[in-house]
Amino acid sequence: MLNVEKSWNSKSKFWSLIALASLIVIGGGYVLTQFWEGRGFEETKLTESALADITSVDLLKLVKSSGGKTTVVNIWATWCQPCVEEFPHLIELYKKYSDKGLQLVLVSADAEEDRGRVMDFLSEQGVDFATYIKSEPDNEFVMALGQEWTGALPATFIYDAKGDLKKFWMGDASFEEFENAFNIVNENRETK
Amino acid sequence: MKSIFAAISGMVVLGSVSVSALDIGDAFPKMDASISQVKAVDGKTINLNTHRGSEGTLVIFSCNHCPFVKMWEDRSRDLGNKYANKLAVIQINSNDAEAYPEDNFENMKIRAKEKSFSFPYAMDSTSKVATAFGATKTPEFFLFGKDGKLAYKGALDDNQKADKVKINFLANAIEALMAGKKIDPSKTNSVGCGIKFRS
Repeated sequence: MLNVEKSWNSKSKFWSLIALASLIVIGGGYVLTQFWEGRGFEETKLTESALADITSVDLLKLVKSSGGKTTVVNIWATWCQPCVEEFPHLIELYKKYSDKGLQLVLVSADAEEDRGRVMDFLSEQGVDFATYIKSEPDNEFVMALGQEWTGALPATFIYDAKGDLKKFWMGDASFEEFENAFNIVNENRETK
Repeated sequence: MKSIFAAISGMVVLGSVSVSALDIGDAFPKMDASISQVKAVDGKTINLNTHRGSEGTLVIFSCNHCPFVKMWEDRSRDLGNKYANKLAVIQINSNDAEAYPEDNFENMKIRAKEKSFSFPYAMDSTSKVATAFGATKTPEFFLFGKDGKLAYKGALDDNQKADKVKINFLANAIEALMAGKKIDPSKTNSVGCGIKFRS
């Protein structure tokens, strides 16, 4: 009996060592793959659904059906230097307020052919939520979003929970400016 | 602090600057000489208050650095060159070159030579020409009739990509203007780079 048990223990140790070695090889391989692909561990590989087509009609529907949220719409493009510079502030705003009444709608105004370039940028920025790319000619899209917007990028619109436009500006903003503007509209939502 | 909390009205807020947009039928803006006299890349000074062509005036707000300008630039140049004998065409850069060094005067000279503009490319050294027009982005086009009134403003055509263009808004507007016909549409939009106004 003792011998049998001893024999079993030896086998068990042997297989445990094999299992451990396998784990080390598989895990190490994964780490190396990540390393060689040059991807950070926190970076998300986006699927195509992370960049949906949107028209001005769809966009305004999103704003109107926010489920009681304050909506920040930012129109940007990969080609637009101030857009790219302010982009991390919008991600920060999303992380801080997405569970406190914020619906963030990011719309790329890049051309359809540049979809890949947009996806790469979103991945680099660690975007892990749905964003959009304009699928309508500039003229119709810009006109539909209101008289104040001339098409200059970046452009930011803040709508209250009812879908009424409360703040709008063109040009880049700091995180504090985004946060203050959002809070003013969002606080009104909460006190109603 | 940017004036982003300004009330929404007819004013357009761009960075720290609020501008009132020129509308169709409005007269060519009258500017103080310190603003209206702009220096072109050939060294000549042009007075915008008197820069008029036999059929009208075309003012193009543009710059060097903006990728949207680059997408439309060859088509814009071709159109400007085509009508430069009938319209007084001028391309103006209102950007603060400290924010965008690519938009400084030396680089404007290089661009004009590279692109063979047959119309002046001038520096709005105060950014106040853009303010007077209510221009907010590049590229943006303002077409005035020989009566000095704004006949068309907005985009060159309906697509960033040359091979996708279906409607040549500005060319149609110029032809209609010269034929004495109604311009439709008289206002269009395209996306572009916000003008970086000097503070």
